[in-house]
Amino acid sequence: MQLKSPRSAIISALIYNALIIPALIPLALKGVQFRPLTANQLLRRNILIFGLGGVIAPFIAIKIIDILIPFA
Amino acid sequence: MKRFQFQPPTLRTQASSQVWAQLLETIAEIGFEWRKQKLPLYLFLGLCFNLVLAPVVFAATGDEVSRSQAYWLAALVLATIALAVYLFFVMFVPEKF
Amino acid sequence: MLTDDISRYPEFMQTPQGSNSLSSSSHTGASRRHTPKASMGGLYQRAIREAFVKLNPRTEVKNPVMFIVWVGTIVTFLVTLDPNLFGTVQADPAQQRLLNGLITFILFFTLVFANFAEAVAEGRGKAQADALRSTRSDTIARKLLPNGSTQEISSTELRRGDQVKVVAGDMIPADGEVVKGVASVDESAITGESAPVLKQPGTDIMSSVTGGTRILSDELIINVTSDPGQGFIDRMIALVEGAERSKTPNEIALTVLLTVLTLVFLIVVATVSPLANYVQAPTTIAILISLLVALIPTTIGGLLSAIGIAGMDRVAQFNVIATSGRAVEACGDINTLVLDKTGTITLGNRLADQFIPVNGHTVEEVAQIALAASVFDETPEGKSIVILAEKNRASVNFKTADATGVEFTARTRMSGTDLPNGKEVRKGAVDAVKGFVRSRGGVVSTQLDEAYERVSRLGGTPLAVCQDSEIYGVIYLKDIVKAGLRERFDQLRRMGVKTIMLTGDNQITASVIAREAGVDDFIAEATPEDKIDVIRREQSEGKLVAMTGDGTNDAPALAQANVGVAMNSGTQAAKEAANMVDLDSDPTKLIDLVTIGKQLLITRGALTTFSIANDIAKYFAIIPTILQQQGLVPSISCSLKVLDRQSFQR
Repeated sequence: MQLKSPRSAIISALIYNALIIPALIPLALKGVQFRPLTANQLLRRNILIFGLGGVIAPFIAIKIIDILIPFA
Repeated sequence: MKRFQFQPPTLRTQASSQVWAQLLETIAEIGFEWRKQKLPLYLFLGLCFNLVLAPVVFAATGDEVSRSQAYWLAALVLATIALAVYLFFVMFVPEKF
Repeated sequence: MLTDDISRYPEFMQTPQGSNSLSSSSHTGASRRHTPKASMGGLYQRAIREAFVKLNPRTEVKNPVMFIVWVGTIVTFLVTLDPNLFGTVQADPAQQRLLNGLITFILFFTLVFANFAEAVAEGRGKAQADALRSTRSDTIARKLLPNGSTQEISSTELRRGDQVKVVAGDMIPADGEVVKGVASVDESAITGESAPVLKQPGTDIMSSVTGGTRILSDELIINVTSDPGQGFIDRMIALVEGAERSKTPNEIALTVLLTVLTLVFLIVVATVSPLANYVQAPTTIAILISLLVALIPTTIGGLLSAIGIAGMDRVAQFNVIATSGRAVEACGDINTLVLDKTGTITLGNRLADQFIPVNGHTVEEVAQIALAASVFDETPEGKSIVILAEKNRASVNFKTADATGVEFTARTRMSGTDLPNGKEVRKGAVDAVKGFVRSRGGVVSTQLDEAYERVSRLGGTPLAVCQDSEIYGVIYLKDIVKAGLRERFDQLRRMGVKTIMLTGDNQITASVIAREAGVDDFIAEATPEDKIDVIRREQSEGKLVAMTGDGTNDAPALAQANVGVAMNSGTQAAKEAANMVDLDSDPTKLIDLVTIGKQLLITRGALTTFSIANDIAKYFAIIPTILQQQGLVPSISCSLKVLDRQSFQR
């Protein structure tokens, strides 16, 4: 992932881990947008958004945090 | 405790019986608190058990680990095992949590 | 009230998503005020304080995932104090301490954030409970003594079975049944509905009163039905406050799943250390804990309870009180909705739709007679006849002051007017009018029966109109299906929810309404007892059933259903049997509740997916660096390069 250093990688991952909780509070309290779809459609849709999104988002976020934090 | 065992029964004056009563009360209270507050008790027992475990760890690791480090390492191993037991407990009786 | 209801539905349809639709609906009905809302100002300060209070291990131990993080924080704190605590570290101790301190700091905030999420969710319920509590205060009650005199006592001393007298301006001291008197009561404290409600004894619905509401006129004698502290408002406070909150079956299942994951990763990480030592690449304890925390599903672990509490809160904002989180969740799993026709699928009142002339009369003539027969009729049906007649250019051609109205009675099943010129005009059930006409020496033609059948086939109720011995025609009273319901039933069907309509109407009428509303199944000529049979039948097929009800005879069915929603206007028995109470007494809300329940389940599923997907990504972000840190990865690539060079040279 071309992060600055191993130390920075671990700190970035932990910061992401901590910040994702408050970031998701509004979603948890409001609920995800509801669409009247069948169970299968919903499953496919949610796996696409939250599953794939959940795999990709941390890589991007960790990379950004790694760039932002001041130490190597 | 020792002090009272050696106390001759003939010296049972008013004052000493009061001390007796007070002490019994305190012991009862500690016992009660212990029964109520499980966490400190378990922690204490765990650290005591660790005293037995630490020399084993110390002997096994050789000279790269000091005596105190061995003690804490053993404590960490114990804590990990305790956590695993706790998680097993949560798995089987999740309603309690 | 009716128009208000209709105008609200289209909005619920487009955004059946809790708070949004509520805020948008509130300005269409300016008179509507939802359950007393407390100021949310101090909510966040309170939540921040709570987030730290919840760091108590006794609280944390309830959440296995976060408890692991909690223990990890303690351990990293120890290695911050002394980096060499668990073994001598090669790196510079000062630098090591800085890294460990940073890890401790981040882990600590992970815990605080997770607690904050739960505290915010709880805080909203608490604020609502405070607002409710402010409506309930100790009042002076006039207890009725056996000798007929009254005694002033505090409302807290009232017991079940006592009789109290309340007069205009008083606060009703406890939940009860009206035994004597007629009065209007302001129930806005609990329903948010500002229009006063009429209370009188004997009726199933209108005789129950709630403690904390205010009597506006006249006086009532009330039989107290609840002991102090167990009244409706008290129960409501306990519920919205979450005092009785326990994990729902789905939450338990998810907790087990998360615990298994956590346990697996705990074992994996615990065995990484010896392995790392074996390959001559020792790691520090702080790094291992970081790895563990990154691997376990902390995101969903921290948000799980917040999602559940927020679901209950969303239901409460909808002005529905759920007795448990379990009930809210069950809403999302519902397979079958059992709906009453009247009031739920159709508007409570039937409206005149068409005049069908018989015996050679014209529509205008029928309209004229129908108008004359309805001028004194104050019921919505009567008013709708007047409106329709005026649309057909009919007008009142006699002095209403000289005419006398004839009231509808259950025996005559007719109403009408005695005109100043001595003529009698009547409208009513077809066979009742037939009898009236025969008694005046008239004859009944077969045309009337044809019109009667035509209207029945259309799903309407036919009313015959006559003047003296001459039948003029039939008024077609139509059941109006609530706007937008068809689309909502379609939505439900797509989600796999079946709808069953129950009605007392005959087979033909019921089938027409069922087709018009788009329900999947209907039961005609149903009695209240049929409800429970339908529910049992569906449940025996392994389905979860939801229904609404308000009468005492609905109570067994409400208790039998997986989700029973009682109307707040309903009887005490119904409210006690149900697991939800709708404060607005709007049975159509059942559909919205299904949506909210489904949304809760979907939200939980989505965040779990997200959290676990995250863990995979974090794993790949951390593992290479741990290996790299120990020079393992570069050494491998180095040796590969060496190999390359060797092969190149060869």
